[in-house]
Amino acid sequence: MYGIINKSLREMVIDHHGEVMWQQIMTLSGVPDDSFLSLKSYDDEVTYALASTTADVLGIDLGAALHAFGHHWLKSSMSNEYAVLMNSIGDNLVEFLNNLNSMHDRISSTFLDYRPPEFKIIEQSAEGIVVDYLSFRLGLSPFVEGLLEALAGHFAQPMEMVSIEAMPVASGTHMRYSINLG
Amino acid sequence: MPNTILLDHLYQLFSIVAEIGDDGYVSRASDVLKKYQPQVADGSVRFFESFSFKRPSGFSGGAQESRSHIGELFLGIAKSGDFAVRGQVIQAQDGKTIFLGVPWLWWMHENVSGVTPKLSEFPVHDVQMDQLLFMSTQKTMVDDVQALNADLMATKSHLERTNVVQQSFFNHVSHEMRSPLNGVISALTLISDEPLSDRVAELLRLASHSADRLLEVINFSLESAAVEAGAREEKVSNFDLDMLIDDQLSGGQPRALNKNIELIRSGDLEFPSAYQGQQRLLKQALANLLSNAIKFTPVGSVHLGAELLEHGQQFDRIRFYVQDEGPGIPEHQLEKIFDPFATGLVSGTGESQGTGLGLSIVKRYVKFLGGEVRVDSIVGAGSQFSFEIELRPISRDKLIEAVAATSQARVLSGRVLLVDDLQTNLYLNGQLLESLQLTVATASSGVEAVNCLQQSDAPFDLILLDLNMPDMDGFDAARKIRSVPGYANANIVALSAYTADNMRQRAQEEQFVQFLSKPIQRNELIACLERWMPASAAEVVVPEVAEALADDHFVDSDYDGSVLAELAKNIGRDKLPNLVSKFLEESAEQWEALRLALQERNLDSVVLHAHTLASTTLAFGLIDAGTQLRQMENRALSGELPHLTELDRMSQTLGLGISKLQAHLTTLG
Repeated sequence: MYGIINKSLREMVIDHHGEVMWQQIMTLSGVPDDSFLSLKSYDDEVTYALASTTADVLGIDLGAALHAFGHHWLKSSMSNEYAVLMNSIGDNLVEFLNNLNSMHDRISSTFLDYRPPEFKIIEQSAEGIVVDYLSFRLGLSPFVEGLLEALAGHFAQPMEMVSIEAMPVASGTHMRYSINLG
Repeated sequence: MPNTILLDHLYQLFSIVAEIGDDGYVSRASDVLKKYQPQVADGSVRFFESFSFKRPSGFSGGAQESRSHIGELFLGIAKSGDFAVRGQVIQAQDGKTIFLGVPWLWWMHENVSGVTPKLSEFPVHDVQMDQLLFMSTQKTMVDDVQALNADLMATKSHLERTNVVQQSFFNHVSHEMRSPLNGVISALTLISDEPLSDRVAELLRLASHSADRLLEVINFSLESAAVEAGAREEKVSNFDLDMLIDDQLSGGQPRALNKNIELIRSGDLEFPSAYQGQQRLLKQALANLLSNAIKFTPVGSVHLGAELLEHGQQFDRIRFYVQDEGPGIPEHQLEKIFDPFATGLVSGTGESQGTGLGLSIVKRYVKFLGGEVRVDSIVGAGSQFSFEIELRPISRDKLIEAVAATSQARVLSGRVLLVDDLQTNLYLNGQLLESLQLTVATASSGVEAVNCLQQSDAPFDLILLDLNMPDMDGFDAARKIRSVPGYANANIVALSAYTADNMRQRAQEEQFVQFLSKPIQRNELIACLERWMPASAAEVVVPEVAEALADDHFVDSDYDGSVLAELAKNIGRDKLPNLVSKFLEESAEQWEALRLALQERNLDSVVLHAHTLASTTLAFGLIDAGTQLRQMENRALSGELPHLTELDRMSQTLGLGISKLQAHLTTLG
């Protein structure tokens, strides 16, 4: 993953728990250096090690840590240098999710190592939406759940996660989220 | 193809499409144009008149003229200021003009706040979103680099602070070790005078040797720290290279003569010009190399040389070398020779091998000079240490002018009160101050100083105050002085022969604006005066250039004649007889006072008189006597009472030094 993800994780821990806690996480994780460059591609293992150690140190399960990170990631993306781009994707949750793949497509033309996830609204009604999430990565569903909640919050859209279903897939992750909007 | 079908296709490729008649009005428009420029899209306003076009160059508007720019980029800024387009024009089959484009994203990003075109308003082939991503990324990268740079600077600063603390601790410990060690060495010396069995005498010799080595290590370590601190602040000065080399040879002569070794100058025997550079560092490097060469040469000669390798427009490249006839260094040890504590490299010279720190210090001196010291050696034949550096040549006339100009730049005026309990110091430093055109008053105690301030008609600009006076020390005297009306914020400078960091620090924390070590160096005094005295354009210090270039040399460990030569230069030769006479008279009094203190076993008094004698004897170049007195003072400070018989031995050293001083004075007169 790009360093911007690791930086955001560090920012979340320091914002909520302080520098000392982050240094403890760094030491325990075995990651040698936290001078992450935003646009440098780091091994996914670095991010997994930081996330799992964060969960251990905070005494919460990994899912809860990733869920919280989903919230933080959206919040920081909407306020950093990429805010204009993020705001251009859509004016509401549905429009945003519909256009997100298009944004990922464009990013892929510049960052050649970029392997983004895919989001598809496969059902849409007055009551809600059904969203598929596909990724070659494993274990990030709680992060996506946090992200979807934070997106809805950003657009002041009330939402309720009705169900989360792991879909059969040969490799990677395929999750289906049923979301009530109302 | 009818325009309707054409436009339907174009809507899929461009978000801004406008069909424009020759009258300039839009007949059909895409949704994005309707959204941002409704009055243009509905035909109320002419298309080209509603934008200012930055491109094409020279385009002034109008549908017909636009067609002469087919194939060119159009960059238009809406006159409403909240929208911009980029695109091109084509001509349809029916002759109408069609504008095809997209919102000009970067212009809007930079100039319109609160309005962000949506991703869906850009066709997928348009790369402006990629451009925005790239620009956002660049900002992120700059932020990253700045954050990393801040981290690095913070880490560097932390390391530097840590280094300072460690170095300060190390220096402090070294200083603290030196005093008791001097006590050990003196005690061992005294024991050796007692009747001893052969075995005890041998053990004592080993103990003395080890203690000497340890003292040497401590002294070198302290010198090493001083090199680091001093070299960073070292300034360039003008100097005569021939004289500098000859000085080095003169300085080494006494030791060479003792060993019956010949010192020879080789290389270029006369340089065509004088030079500008870090003279003191160069002297130190050569002096260390020469000392080493003499030390390791049992018989024969030692060569000190310099060669002009290259005469450049701005700099001359010069090679310096010292060649000895010592035992040489085996090839496998050459790389380690400059490492700190690299010892055991030579044998058979009959000399102590030393601590291995001297060459390490030379390496650092030469590095500060911009060179690199190297060694070539043949076992059994000798070694040559050399380095090449660049020096800026100046004419010899310019050397004189430069020295004069430097001196003339020191424009000072004002009144100085000098306070010291020793008449010699009052006379000597008073002469120094007067030679700088200052008005000087003197006082020999704190009480006398206060009286002088109260009775003086005109105020004093600066007070130079000795810290170690018998009745009232400098700290108490400074407090009394500050209680005199008008002197609460006086500039008071501390003078002391104690150079320990804690004394210096205490002085600067309590009462004093600056600390000057005794004996006072003229340059340091001038820098101090320039800092605290008012400047005056009316008075100019007259330089004594001729004297500065004509120092006499009379140097060995009993007596360093360069000190007297320097005094002659600073205050004038005519003042020397009186000064030396005062010194001899006062030294005799202090000597008797020290003897009495030892007899009465009064440690405080021993410290005071040993300190006074040490600082005055050193101020007149009596190196051995001053060093022994300083050791006595340090031991007394650490609580050990020196033996009276030591004073008798010391009197021989002092007598020898004084006889050489008097002989030198005769030659100067």
